[in-house]
Amino acid sequence: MTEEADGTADREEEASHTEGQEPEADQPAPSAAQSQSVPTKKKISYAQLVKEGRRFNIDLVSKLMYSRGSLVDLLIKSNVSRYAEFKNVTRILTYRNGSVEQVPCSRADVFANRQLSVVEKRKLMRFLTSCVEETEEQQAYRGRPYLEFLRDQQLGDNLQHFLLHSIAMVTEDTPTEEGLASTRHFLRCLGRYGNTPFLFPVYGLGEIPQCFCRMCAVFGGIYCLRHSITCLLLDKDSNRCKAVIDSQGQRISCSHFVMEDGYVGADRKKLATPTRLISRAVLITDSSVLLSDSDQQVSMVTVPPIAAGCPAVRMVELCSSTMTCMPGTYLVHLTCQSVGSAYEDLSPVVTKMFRTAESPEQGTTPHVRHDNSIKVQTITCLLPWQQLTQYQVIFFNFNHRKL
Amino acid sequence: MHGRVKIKSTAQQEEEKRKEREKKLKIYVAARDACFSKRKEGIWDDEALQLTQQLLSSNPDFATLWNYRREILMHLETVKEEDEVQKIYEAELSFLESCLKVNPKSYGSWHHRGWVSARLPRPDWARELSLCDRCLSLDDRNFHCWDYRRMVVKVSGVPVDQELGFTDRLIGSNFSNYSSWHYRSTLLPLLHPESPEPPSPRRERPHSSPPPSPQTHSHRVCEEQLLKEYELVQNAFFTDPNDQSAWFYYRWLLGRAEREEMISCVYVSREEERVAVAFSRPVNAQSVGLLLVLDGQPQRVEWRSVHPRFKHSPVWICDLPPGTISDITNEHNLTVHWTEKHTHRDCALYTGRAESWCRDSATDQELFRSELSIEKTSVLQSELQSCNQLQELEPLNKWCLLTIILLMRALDPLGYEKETLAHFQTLREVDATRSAYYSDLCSKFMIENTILKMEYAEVRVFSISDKHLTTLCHLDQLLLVTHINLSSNQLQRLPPQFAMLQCLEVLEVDNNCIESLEGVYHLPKLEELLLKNNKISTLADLQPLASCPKLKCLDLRGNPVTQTANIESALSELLPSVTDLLL
Repeated sequence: MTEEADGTADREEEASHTEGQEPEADQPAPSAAQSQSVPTKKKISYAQLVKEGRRFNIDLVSKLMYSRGSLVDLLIKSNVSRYAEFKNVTRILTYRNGSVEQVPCSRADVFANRQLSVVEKRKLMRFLTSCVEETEEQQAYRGRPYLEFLRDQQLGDNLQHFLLHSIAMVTEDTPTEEGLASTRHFLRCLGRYGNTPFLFPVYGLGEIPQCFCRMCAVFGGIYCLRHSITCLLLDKDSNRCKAVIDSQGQRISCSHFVMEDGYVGADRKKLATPTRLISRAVLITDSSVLLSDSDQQVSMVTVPPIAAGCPAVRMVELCSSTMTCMPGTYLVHLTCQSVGSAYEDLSPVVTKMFRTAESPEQGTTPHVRHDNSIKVQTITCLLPWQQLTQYQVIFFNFNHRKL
Repeated sequence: MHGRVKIKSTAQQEEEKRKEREKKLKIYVAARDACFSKRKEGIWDDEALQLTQQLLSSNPDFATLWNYRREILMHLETVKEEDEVQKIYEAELSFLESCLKVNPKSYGSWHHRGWVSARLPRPDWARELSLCDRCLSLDDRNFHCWDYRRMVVKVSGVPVDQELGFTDRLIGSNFSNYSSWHYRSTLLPLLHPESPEPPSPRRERPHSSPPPSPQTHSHRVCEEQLLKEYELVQNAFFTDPNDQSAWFYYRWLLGRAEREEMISCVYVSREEERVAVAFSRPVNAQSVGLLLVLDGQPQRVEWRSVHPRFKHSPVWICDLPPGTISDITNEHNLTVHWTEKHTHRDCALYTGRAESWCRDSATDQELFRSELSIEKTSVLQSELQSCNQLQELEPLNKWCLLTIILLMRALDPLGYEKETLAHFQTLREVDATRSAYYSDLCSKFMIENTILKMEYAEVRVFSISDKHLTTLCHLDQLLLVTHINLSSNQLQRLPPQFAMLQCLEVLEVDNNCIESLEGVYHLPKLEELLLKNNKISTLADLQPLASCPKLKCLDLRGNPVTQTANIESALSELLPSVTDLLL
């Protein structure tokens, strides 16, 4: 569920952000006081963020939806899709050789890309069209790493990087059949709704459970708020749950009881669910990692492992028109498999890609919740081409089930 | 019962549908008839507008109703105030939008919209342009919309660079679109015109030549921009080599030279007392002001084309009055003037010489490079390199092969001959449905090469044998040839253009598939004709030979016509001059 629940009041159409605000314009621009010709944006302060807090919808879990995935199919089949709006992820980026580059995935992208040579473009297009089919050559690489397969296709380093990290999104050890399956899935999803395979729900992922709830309510589901279950009554013989007792002492009989895994102790479970730790970070930034003509871009960024043994980091940058952050800001989610603490895993990436403002007066204010460690910190780091950014960093460690 | 849906039987459903249709048809016909009767009576009122609107919304292609509507509107213009007229026309425009939704490719709707926009007191061209944008985003090949856009751009003076930016966007989102590339090709020369060059001094012209006409350079683009375009289009055909539009745009960029208009050859023969003139393109001698001047005296002559079928021909002949040049001891000077183009050519007939000619060599003129020759050699070389690079990656792509062939022809026709033939072979295999086209094109290139080789050797013998020739061309270049060997090819006919070979003495066409000899017509010097193993089937096919007065030797072995009864006597009657007959 989302951290910030209430957004109902602020669901107005976001005022369109025109690129290139002229300082001479007669609308009250915050930079009106500037006498320079280049409009410099006024720094957004922490106080402002707090004041506009209701415009922020920060998901605890950061996910994107494949346009031909099971969730989208379910949403369509069940008609739940009409309760939500979705936005296309507009571009796929990667971090390479010290800079952020766009990954060409569609034909139009490949055409427009300025970094690839014409020969590389041909090779990439040929590979993408050919890998859709199963060939004998691919069979020969079963069990061997996907990277090896790509290398043997004479694709060159550039293309190997794109294909492995951003399109297939696998590691260097992943076997070929898995890598190919992943690549094919990516390609299949292209073009269904947009130029990339991914969708993102407007107002954040928290909308999805809400939509299902809405649907359930339409069909007569009853919601009991501010209730919790204190104990389960199990039938002695069948060992099935036959009733529950809520916090108000009421007994409710049932034939099935469905609940989230975490409520039951390990000793009680039939099957032990494997656990995995995921490191997360959320940033609020004032400009995109890759500037372009439009500032309303939803980007998925892959940062390959910086060293052996480190995890690949996935980053989702959301613009304000996704209604997850206030205009003039971007909401950035970072996720990776935990190797160390969240700070250890993610701060190298953060430092590389973002600049933080030095604000000694705010200092480090550790704010600890009772069930997990959330640190709210303001950090400063430098990025050569970004303007000075002030943001809040939230690091969490979660016990996340393998999903 | 409540809640149960009555399922009608199929027959019932059909019947209901039929009744529906009939009802609709009745309403439609009534409305249409009402419109027609009103129009006949010359009534131009609101009701008429209503009726036509009703009909046109369901059938926007009903041209008569659009006409009627225009009549009504023109009448309203005369009786209403300008503001009201503006409102009426704006309502018309929104009505048209709904019509376009029904059928975005209706001639009637687009034409009417253009008419309305032209008559609107205060037109909103920005809105029209955005309508075009929207229609093109739905279907970027809708030519009605493109035409309308061009009209709007012209009338409202939209700057060319803005339109160029529009094509950038369209091509960026989807480069498989002839229309956007084509539009780009019309805009570029306007925005980045090639700076006019001084006429190239590459050849000695003994006679005056006109300055290059402005049209020659107006469709060309300046070099800096061209290089950017090459990059753009290379991106396109490397990304998807199977997309034709990029390849065609590429060919346009590489450019096609326009041949200078002139008289390419003048030939004089004392024996026939005849002058033959070859032009750089087919002309109608009667209307171009052709003037023959002999020894300073203009001559009254009748110009005729080589074959009665041609009113326009590159080669024209005239006969001089008998005795004018027959005395071999006399020297004569001829000049042929092409007064329309202010050009002429001289020819001197010396004492002791039975014939004389004057022509520009095909090599000097770079005649056969006109397909893609405007570009500088360095540019063509680098483009050839890129295409070769692509060809390594995509050996079976026909567009790439064809473009490589054209580039090689433009750079060095003789030097690349072997590679060209090899590529043609691949092309025929890769694109079998067009193998005939490739064979013809290859034949053309082989003929061009043979003409060049013939010039280098400085002989008047033209020989292409066993080269799978399927067609003949550039026959106007063979005016001076005396011997031709076309044996062992796949020719099916000697077309009427063959009659341009005024100097031909020996013609060898054995082992072909010749059925028609139309072109062996009034060849004044033809003595020997070898047609062994062809497909001449009737006596009528041999009729044209009767016009060749000097024909002595004829080989018809292996032709179906030899099986005709009494062929020998028939032939001796038809062709009395033939003494050596082989059947």
